[in-house]
This record gives sequence, structure tokens and C-alpha cells, in this order.
Amino acid sequence: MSASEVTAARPGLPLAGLGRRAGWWVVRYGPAALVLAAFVLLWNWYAGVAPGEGRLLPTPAQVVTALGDDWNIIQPALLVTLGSAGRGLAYGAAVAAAFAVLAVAVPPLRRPIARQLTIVFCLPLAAIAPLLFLVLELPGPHVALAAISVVFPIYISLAQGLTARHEEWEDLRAVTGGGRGRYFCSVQIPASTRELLVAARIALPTAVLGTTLAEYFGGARGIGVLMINSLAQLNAPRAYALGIVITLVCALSFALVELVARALPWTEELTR
Amino acid sequence: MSQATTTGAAGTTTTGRVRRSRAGATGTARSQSDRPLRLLATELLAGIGPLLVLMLLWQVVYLTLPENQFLRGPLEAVEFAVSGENVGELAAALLSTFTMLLAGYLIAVLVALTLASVVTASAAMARAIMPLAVVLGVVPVIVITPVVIMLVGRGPATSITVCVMITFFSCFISIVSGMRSAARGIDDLAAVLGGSGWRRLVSVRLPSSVPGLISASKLALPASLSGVILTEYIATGEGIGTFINLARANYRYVDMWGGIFVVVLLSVLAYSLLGFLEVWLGDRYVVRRSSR
Repeated sequence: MSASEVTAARPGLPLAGLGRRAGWWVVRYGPAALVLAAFVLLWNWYAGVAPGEGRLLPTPAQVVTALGDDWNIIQPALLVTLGSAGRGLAYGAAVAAAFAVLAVAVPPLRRPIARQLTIVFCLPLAAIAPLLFLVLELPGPHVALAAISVVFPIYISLAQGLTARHEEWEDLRAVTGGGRGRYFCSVQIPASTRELLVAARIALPTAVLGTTLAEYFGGARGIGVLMINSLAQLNAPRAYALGIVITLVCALSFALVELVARALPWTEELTR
Repeated sequence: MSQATTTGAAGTTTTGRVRRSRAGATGTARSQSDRPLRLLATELLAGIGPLLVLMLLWQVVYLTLPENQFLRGPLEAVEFAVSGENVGELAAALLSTFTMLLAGYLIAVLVALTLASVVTASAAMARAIMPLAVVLGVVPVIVITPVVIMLVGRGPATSITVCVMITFFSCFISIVSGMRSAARGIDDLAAVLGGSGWRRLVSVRLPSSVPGLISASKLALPASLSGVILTEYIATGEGIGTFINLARANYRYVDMWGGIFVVVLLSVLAYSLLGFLEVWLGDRYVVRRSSR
């Protein structure tokens, strides 16, 4: 879509050679840069006139300063959160993979499994978080919420990838007489790389979100705990800095999946 | 694919069959838009069935862990939800929560529709707004909820704002892609035939954005509900989030389990309802393409 817009815009520019290239950059990214600059300026202006003297809305400069000053507090908390999220992601992915393999092995079970996991997806996480704190020991709720939040998206992607039909390969298997397990490992798993990457792209940020949400309901260390404390102390610059850190972590996970996708050329469609 | 399109274009008598075969591919029910009530029943059953399985598992866990003092069984929870002593309080809390959710959804959809109309009408606006929308879409709203509370305060506006922020992005992206994908050929045709910009928006682009909008609202539902409950818990002190946490703090575990059960039940019902609308309206508004 954007590629066609770009090629359409190119010949219309009254610039040549290097100038044309620069003009293309201006046309392509100029409006976005303007809007972004306007956004930051508006924020800066409003932070000056807003009530609360910077305790509710800090200026962008204050946020960057807080990010630098509080990094020695934020970094360990981030590691704790990422650790819980990683464990949750591993458990959730294992459960999802087990269900996906079951769906491949027993086709009639596909729809019931999908329906059952949809219910897990429907659970409002903030409503069941208090329960987990009653039932599990402390890092437990943080891990469990991350696991619960990733099971559904991972299962859906994996099942879609693994149960796709590959008629040529099925014919080949019928002719050469390959076993079911061999077919699964040599055809179905490699063919679902794309879906696996889609799953990773959704699940990585989701797991971090699940853990942080659980940390709001209790815990000793972690980004969510820091966030709640900053809210209680009205430490706005730190709260905003934490928000930016988590956003960057999510953006970084998107970029990471994107890089892996580019390294595997047959998953090209993902990067479209 | 091409055969289905030809029969679909040939006349109204065969569209039923085409719809049915398409619905068979998505795998929900035999007959679709012709029998909305039956479809609704199927979708609701598809939601309630797995919920019963979940309750069965819950009962099993309850029976196998008799010494756990926090656990309450599903039967006790259901009994509380039907005739407990605090059931009026529960109903008020649920009403408050779902009012916030509905208000947030309405605002998010209206803003998303307006912005998407602007973005699909002008390439320059698209280049200005889309990158910012994508950047803001990466921001995890649930995580920055405390920041929203600082900005907006501790009133109902906070719950609504968080719900809008969670719902808006996915709705916006779906509406834009819906408006762009289906409309290309028909939109050009309408332009050639002299349709005004406004007319093309109302008759071509808006209808083609409906299925994507419903799917996006459906998928954003659990997160939005979660966001509203979170703000109730840490800021506003109203609604089902506060009900559950007060029950926990006061050791009224039956109330807590009952509240959680009802909110999960309502979440599943709302999700099934949107699933029904997705299939039903999707059948009516989808634009069949001649080739892929």
C-alpha cells in the first residue's frame, strides 16, 4: 500500500538526482516528523501551564532526567519483571504448544480446544489477579498472569500454522510412504515458522503486560510495584520514565521479531 | 473462489449457497445471515459450553483441596450471584463497570471512525497521522494506567479514558484497512460516476469498515474490561474491581468468587454477542472480490 503511494509521489516532484531523493524523504516522513514535533511541543507547553506544578504532568526534559537519575532503581526492577514475564511466557508457550500438537494429532478436537482457550482469553485479567495472590506464593501470580495472557494468541497462531494443508507434500508422502511423525517434523513444523513469528510478536509484549498488571496487585519488586509507588508519592517524572521504559521494551521485542523474520526469507509476508 | 464469485454475482437466488459455503470455511454454523436467531444461539452456546467445562474443573479442584481456606466452589458462587445478601451491591458494581466500558467503546469507535475517514481521504494526512498512531499503539495502556490516573484524576473519566485508549488503536487500524481494502475499485468507480467525497465515505468506505470494526472490538474486549477493572481497583473505588477487592480484604470469599464468576460470565456473553455480530454483519457488509 505505502509502496504504491511512494512510487506515485516520486515522478510528481520537480527535483532531480540527489535532490529528488531528499524530496522523497521530505514527502514521505515530513508530515510524521511535523506531527511528532508538534506533539512534543504541545506536551512541553501544557506541562508548563497545567495545574499541579509538574507533579501530575512533567515536561519531557524532566522525564528524560528522571530516566537517567533513577536508572539504578529502574534497571533491577526491569530485570525482575522481565524474569517473571520470561518464565510465564515459557509456561504459556509450553501449554499452547501441547494443545497445538493435540489439535494436529486429533483433528476433531481442534474446535473444542479453540473454544476452550477462547474462554481463557475472555477472562478479565484484572478480575482474576486477586485470586492468584490468594492461591500462589509470591512470584507465582506474576508468572501465572503472564502465562495465562499468552496461551490463547500462541495457540491460535501455532494451530493455524501446523494444521495448514500442503497438498504437494501430502502427495509426496503418500508416494514415498513417510510416517506421520516424520511428516510433522519435516513439513508441518518448518512450514509454520511464519505463524511462530506472528505468535512471538504478539506474545512477547503481552507477557510483559501480564506480569506488570499482576505487580499492581502486590509484590516486592518489579516495574509495576515501582509504578504504583510513584503514583502514591506523586513522583510523576519517574512514572512517565517507567512508562517509556516499558514502551521501549515492547518496541524492542517487535524489532527483534522483525529482525528474525528478515533473517528467514520465506517468512517475508510477515514484514510486508 | 472464482466460482463462488460468479454465482454470487449471478443473482440473489444463489447467494444463500455462497454465504453458506463461506461460513463453512470460517466454521461457525450451517445457515448464517438468513437465520440470525439461530446463529446467535450457536454463538452463545459456543461461549457457555466451555465456561461449564471451566466450572467443572473448578469444582474438581475445590473437591481435591478441602484444606484450602480461600477456595469456594462454583455452586456457592452461583448461589451467591442468584440470591446472596450482597447481591444488590454486586449488581450496582457491575452496572457501573459496564457503563464505563460502553461509554469508552462508543467514544473510541467515534474517534476512530472520524480519524480513519480523514486518513483514507488524504494521503498527506495519512502520512502525518499513521506513524503517530502506530507509535501510540505500541504504548502498553495497562502499564501506563497510573500515569493516566495522574493526568485525569480519580473519577469515572479515568476508567473511560483507559478503555478508550485500549480500544481505539485496534479499531482505528481495522477501520483504515477495511476502508482501504474493499473500497479501492468501487471507490474509484464512484469517483468516476461523480460521487462527492462525503457520499463516497458514507456509501462505500463506511460499510466496508464494519466487519473489521466488529472483530477489533471483540478482540479488544477482555483487555478493555481488564483496564476498567484495574482503574477501579487502584483509583476510582467503584465498580466490580473494588467489589472483588473489598470482598477479599474483608474475608468474604464467597462474595469474591461470586463477583469473579459473574464478571467472567458477562465477559464471555459480551464476547459471544460480538462474535455473532461479526459473522452476521460480516456476511452482509463484506465485499466479494473477483480475484485475490
